[in-house]
Amino acid sequence: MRIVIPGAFTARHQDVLTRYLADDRLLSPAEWQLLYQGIDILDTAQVHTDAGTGTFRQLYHCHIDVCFATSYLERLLALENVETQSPALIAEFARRIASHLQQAGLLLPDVSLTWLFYTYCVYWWQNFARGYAFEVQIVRDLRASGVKLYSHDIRDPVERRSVADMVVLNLTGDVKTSTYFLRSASSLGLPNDFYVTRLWIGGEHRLLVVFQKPTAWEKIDGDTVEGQLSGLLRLLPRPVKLRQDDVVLVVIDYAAWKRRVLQLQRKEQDDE
Amino acid sequence: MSEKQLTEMDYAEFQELMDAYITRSSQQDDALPAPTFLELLFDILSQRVQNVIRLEGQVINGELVLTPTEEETPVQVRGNQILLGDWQVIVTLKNDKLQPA
Repeated sequence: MRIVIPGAFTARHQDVLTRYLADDRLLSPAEWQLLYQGIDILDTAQVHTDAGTGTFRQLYHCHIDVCFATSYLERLLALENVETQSPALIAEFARRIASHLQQAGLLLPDVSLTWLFYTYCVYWWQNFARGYAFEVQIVRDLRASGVKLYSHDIRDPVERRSVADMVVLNLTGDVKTSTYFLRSASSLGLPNDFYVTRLWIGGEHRLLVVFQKPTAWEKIDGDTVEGQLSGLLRLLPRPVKLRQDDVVLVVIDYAAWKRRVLQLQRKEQDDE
Repeated sequence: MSEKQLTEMDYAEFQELMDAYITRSSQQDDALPAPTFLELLFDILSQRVQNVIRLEGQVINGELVLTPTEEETPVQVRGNQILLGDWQVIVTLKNDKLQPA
């Protein structure tokens, strides 16, 4: 077995990855950027074995996604309280990864580069597992609140990969943890009308917010206050219009967004 | 730089690190501060596409054939396949109602 890590993955990338694993609260903004860059580079690292050659991304798909995803999601959907019960389930599956890779000959105690592959797998598994726990939590909360929505069936591997997680008021939406949200963004823009996400604002405190394209917000309400990226937290829960160059997004507190969606859906129902 | 890189640890130390990471990251999302997240998000969305590669497609004998519009491109094009780094993009026609050129 031979592992080839791209030269672009430097000692600084490995250092920030090591420190992220130890305690991510200590990373600076520049180090977060370096971490994401390093993980992206590892996507193309290659593993050569007697069975053939594959990139980290391809092998993650074959050995982790195919083997664990559907059974994890079935167990997740069977939980009564996702918020309190999912952490144990996420950890249970993550702890299976080491023995699975050892059996496949892809995690060897005496070949330290295989540890990088294992780390890459656990990193993406945790993001995957937390991401779907968050999605299920939000979909259940919206339904319990009376919001009418269509959501994709996450047990179906094809439907799971649909661009949108849900449709509300004919707007396509996605529920994304911050890591996946960044990964779905590109210079071509965001594919969906709105994104429900969690912002970390220090300590143990996380804030649920909805990012929307201005056209989506106009359909729901349209009223906003102008804000700067650095001042967002002070302006919430009001709908805040953020602008940088020609990119404009409207951010609103999740509970306030849900209230306005419900009002509009009830009005539409009364009008019928 | 941290004292020891991940691949410089002994295996037991590495296992301990990963076990603690699994415990922590199963409980909560990454502690990516909101201002850093916003900065990264808007930076990604504001990036301009620097390089554009244009391809033309024709249906010849029922097969899609792609051709670069310029002689020199950083991608290799073979029939309906585009090779870019370690990516191979295969383009197929979804329905057979398209008329051959």
